[in-house]
Amino acid sequence: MKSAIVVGVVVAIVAIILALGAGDPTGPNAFVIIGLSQGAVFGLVALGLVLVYKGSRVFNFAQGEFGTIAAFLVFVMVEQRFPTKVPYVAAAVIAIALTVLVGLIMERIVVRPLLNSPRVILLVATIAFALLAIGVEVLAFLPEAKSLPPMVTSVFGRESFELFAFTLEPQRMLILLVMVGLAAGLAYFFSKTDLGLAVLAISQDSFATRVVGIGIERMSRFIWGSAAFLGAVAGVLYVPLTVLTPGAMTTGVLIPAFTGAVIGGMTSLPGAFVGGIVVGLIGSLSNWAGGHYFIGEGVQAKLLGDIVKGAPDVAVVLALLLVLLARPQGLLGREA
Amino acid sequence: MTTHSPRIKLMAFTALLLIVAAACGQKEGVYEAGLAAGGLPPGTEIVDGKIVDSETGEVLGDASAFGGTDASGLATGGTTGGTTGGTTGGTTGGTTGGTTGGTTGGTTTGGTTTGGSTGGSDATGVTASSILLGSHAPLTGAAPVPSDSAQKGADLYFKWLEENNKKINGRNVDIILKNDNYNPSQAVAVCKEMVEKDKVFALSGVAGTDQIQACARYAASVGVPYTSAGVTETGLDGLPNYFAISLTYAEQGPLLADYAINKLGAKGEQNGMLRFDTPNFQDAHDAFAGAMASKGARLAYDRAVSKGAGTTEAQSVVQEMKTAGIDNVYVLAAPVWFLQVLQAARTQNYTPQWIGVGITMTFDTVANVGCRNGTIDRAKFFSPFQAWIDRNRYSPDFEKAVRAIYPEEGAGDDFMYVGWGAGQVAAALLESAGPNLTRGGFVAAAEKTRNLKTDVFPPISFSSDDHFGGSAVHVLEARCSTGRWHTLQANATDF
Amino acid sequence: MTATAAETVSAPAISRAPARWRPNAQGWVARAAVLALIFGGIIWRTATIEQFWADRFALAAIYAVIGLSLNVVLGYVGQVSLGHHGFVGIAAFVSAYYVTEKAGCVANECSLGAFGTGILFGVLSGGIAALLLGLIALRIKGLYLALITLSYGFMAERSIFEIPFLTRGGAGMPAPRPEGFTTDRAYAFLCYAFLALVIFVDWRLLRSKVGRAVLSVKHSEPVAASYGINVTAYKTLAFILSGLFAGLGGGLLAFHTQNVVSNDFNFAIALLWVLMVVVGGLGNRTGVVIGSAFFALFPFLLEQIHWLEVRVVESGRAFGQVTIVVGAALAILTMIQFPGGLAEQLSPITRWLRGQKFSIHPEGHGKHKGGGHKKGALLAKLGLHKNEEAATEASTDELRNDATPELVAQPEEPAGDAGREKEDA
Repeated sequence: MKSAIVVGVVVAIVAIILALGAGDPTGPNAFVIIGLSQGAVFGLVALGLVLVYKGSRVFNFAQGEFGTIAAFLVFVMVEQRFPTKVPYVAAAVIAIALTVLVGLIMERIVVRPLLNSPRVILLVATIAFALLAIGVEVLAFLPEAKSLPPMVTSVFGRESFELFAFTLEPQRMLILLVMVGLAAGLAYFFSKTDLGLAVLAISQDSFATRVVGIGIERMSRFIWGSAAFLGAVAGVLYVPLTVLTPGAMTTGVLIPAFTGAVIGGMTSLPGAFVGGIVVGLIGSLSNWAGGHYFIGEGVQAKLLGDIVKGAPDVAVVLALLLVLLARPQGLLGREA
Repeated sequence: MTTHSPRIKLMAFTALLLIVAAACGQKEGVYEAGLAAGGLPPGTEIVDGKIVDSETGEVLGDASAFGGTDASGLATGGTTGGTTGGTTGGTTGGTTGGTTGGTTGGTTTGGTTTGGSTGGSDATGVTASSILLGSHAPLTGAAPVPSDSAQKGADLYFKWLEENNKKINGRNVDIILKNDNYNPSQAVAVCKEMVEKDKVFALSGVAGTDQIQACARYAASVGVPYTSAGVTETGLDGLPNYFAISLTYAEQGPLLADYAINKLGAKGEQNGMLRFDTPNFQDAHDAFAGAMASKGARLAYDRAVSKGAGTTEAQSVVQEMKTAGIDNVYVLAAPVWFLQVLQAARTQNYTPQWIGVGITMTFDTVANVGCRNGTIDRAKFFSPFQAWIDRNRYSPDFEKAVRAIYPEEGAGDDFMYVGWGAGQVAAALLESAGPNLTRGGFVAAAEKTRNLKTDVFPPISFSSDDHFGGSAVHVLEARCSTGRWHTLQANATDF
Repeated sequence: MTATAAETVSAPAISRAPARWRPNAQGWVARAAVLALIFGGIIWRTATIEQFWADRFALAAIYAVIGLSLNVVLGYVGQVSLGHHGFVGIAAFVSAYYVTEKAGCVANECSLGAFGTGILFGVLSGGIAALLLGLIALRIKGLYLALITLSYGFMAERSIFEIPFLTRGGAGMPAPRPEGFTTDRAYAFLCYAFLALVIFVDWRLLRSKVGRAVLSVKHSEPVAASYGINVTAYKTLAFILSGLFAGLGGGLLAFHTQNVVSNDFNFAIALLWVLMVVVGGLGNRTGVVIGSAFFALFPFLLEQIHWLEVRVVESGRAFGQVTIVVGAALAILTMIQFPGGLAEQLSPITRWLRGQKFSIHPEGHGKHKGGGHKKGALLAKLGLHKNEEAATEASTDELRNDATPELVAQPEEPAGDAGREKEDA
């Protein structure tokens, strides 16, 4: 089991870092937790990216915007009380459902006509859709920062969990749980159900799939609807942890999520999961390395953060380049 | 740009006049002669006249509203230097004639080289009955100001004057406000547009260090007076027509250090500074860090983050500060990122004393969002304007004005309040420049301004070698009971 | 041209197209007159309009240069670059850095020599950045190249553009214009000249052996390789050319704003550039230039509509945002309904100007007019993908005379499809 090995290696590395840093208050331990929780979000978005890639062989640049759309819908219902005050959980469910509808509309209007186009064109179309969504969000909600309250304030009756000096709030716990659940559910879906196998078949050879009687349109609808669902779940869960601005899930999340998906292999759902976590860890730990030396003694050491500007971003991008060069199929992907 | 034949006639006529002007050897008085011949009303010297590129003889500007085509053509021909100076700056009235103005005609001639009297007797944007001003603000971008409030606030004070039949030396003031998108090149683009297309008399910037710096530099290059709240001194020091109407961040550094030490007991505590990694915040950083060091207060955490910082960075710095046990944190960054830091701090149960200086930071939206998902409560920031919630204490006319002019706005908001204050400062400076308003005159009068008191901004004093006129700060405190900033202390000069 | 639809598209490999229809003398005069009117009109307008409009025209020309640069990658090679702001930005900073820090230019005191050297360094830096990226990209297949460019652009944005000595942070690195071109009007003409140069180079190169090879690579890498074409080398070459053009665009942009700021080069603008090329018409020079100019000028044109300006401004919106919405919607519409972009819409005119008969329906392209997307998957699989067809319309037009027939005929080969499938896998 390749995935088991990779997961094991990642877990082992994390454990070693935690062990080395144990007891050091300025050590990396809290940053490992930041990386894990942030990586969970990247992983959730990466799951959607992988799903679309499996089904349509295209990078979906609108994946992040599914999340922002859903978050804005929640905002409308919960904060603006339009059309009426809706309980938070109900609002989240309605927002996710409406976003799936948006995904289906996008599939019908944008994706379906381009199913037989070069993939580059379809890719550009998803970019155009993302920009369109961001533009509409700006026009509708203005660019000012907004906030969403957390969906859950306690898990198992506790309001926070201390882990290596880092406080995990219930919302983050929820994200981790949802992500694990979704990844497991999707893995089951693709390996055991007929529909899942059909989606896989389409991604292998759409012509042959059609010949054996599987409707490409139906599959395409299913794939994009599911992608919108995954994106919306990520948005609804994550935006309360940050600031709601137009394009919120695209600017800070989409590129790390892509990196995670590529590291995981672009076709592997567990890979997306692991990749997202790895990217979260890389970003957070390079942040630690860049900032660590500023603490203590009041001395500003000219270290990583000063030499390499934007160290966390660069680290993530370098990871992407390295994986693409050394192992384009990713950690868990099949040979291209 | 309508019909062709008058244009050609005009061009030929202008060319002829240019030859005459050249023959006159660019003497003084050509300018006035042209004016007299044009028969323009007083105070409208160069307004809306044709701008003529003397090199090509072509007409650049729009037709004048006064005295018919020929009259304005005449005025233009005689005053090429002066008019072109309007858009190019650096020339002194009509004296430079065709050569200087003409060859450089355009946007980027060096107004700075002529020193103190930039803009000269240029009175672009001024008519017998009105003055046109231009202003830029980030209506979109990283620190957006709501456009509606900003627009209404910008001209609120002048509308109020009009409503009460008060005029500034016989003139009303109109303001154009454009969006700089929190982006320096966009700021320059809109400033350029206001100078060249809308023909404003002077420019001002509402908020945003980089945008103010970029637009002020541009304004200097074309000889247009420029005012803004104080931000940085980098690149603005020495610009002949730039005026900061409040203390810069660097000037506020020692004050903030004093405040932290004497009011917040920072001396025995761990202090930190968190700023965006931009050279424009360097002077502010050095001033604060230097003051803290010289007074024996410990700056234990000193962190610069990339301007592209996001949630991950926010979590990281909070983690670092929490670990290092920082009690007081001076934040100098874009409000959106500050809100992310506050958010991360709340989830980590980290509640330091936030301090800082700011313009956009002390808008109520920051307090509002910061209260809802962060730990901004009791944060203390210096600001060039008092809190809106205390408006009636400091500026009793403000609310009356809003209710009279924009009844739909109720009591207005903080953006309108800042606009109101900026309007008062602009009105006072314009008033002091006298009825014969020119850009040079405006700059000269501004340099003589001492202890100018208005409702909203602290007293302002300029001199010919100090264009940074702020003298005091208002101390604001964020209170989550109202979700707004409150004025703790107004016009404070030491702590 | 008398060739029928089928003949034109499939351009039988064994024979060249029959002798072309040529206009008579009056026909040529009419065409020359129309061309003179168009170009004369642009020049006259630039020479007479207010300076700030000339400034915007300059921006339109610069966008056209950037559009042509992207077109090399997107239109000719069939790859997408999402990191073009990286190439353009680095060139802008290098140019500005040179003139300000090395040549000691200040406003109004900058020699043409310094400007030229600055631009040259900008062009070179764009080319070098593209070369480095191209070398990496050699190993990458298919869509993954998009991610490479994306990560490069991201890295440039967050790292290179934050280096203080290169960018001076904050309000940015000044880039004063050279003597004689300090006015917006003069600078606009300078930009036109550079645009003309880029168009010329692009045109000559596309008609050369290199150009034909690059196009053949786009149609099908395996088939091109089977003709002895070094696929990776030509892809890299095209990439470098694109980088050089982008470098020129960046240099010109630096002296356009005269103050280079890292904010100006972000992911969003790179995406907008991609969209403008798509809307203009992939692979079509005229279309790309018009599309780019349209995107550059669109917000300013919107501003002219007074009631709209009042509405937009009062509601707290900005025209830039409207542009994004309209631009993105246009791009989607273009891709799904008019894959040839503006170029296809304008093709009757451009073909006429090129010396063919005037006809609304493009010769040999009638079959994908309208409802093209209804084509069944089977047909599409066996036949030519409509986007490629439309995208290469202009190039095939141009190539018809001197390209090797085999290469022109390539799109009809079913093998082309198989090749792409493999590439995508």
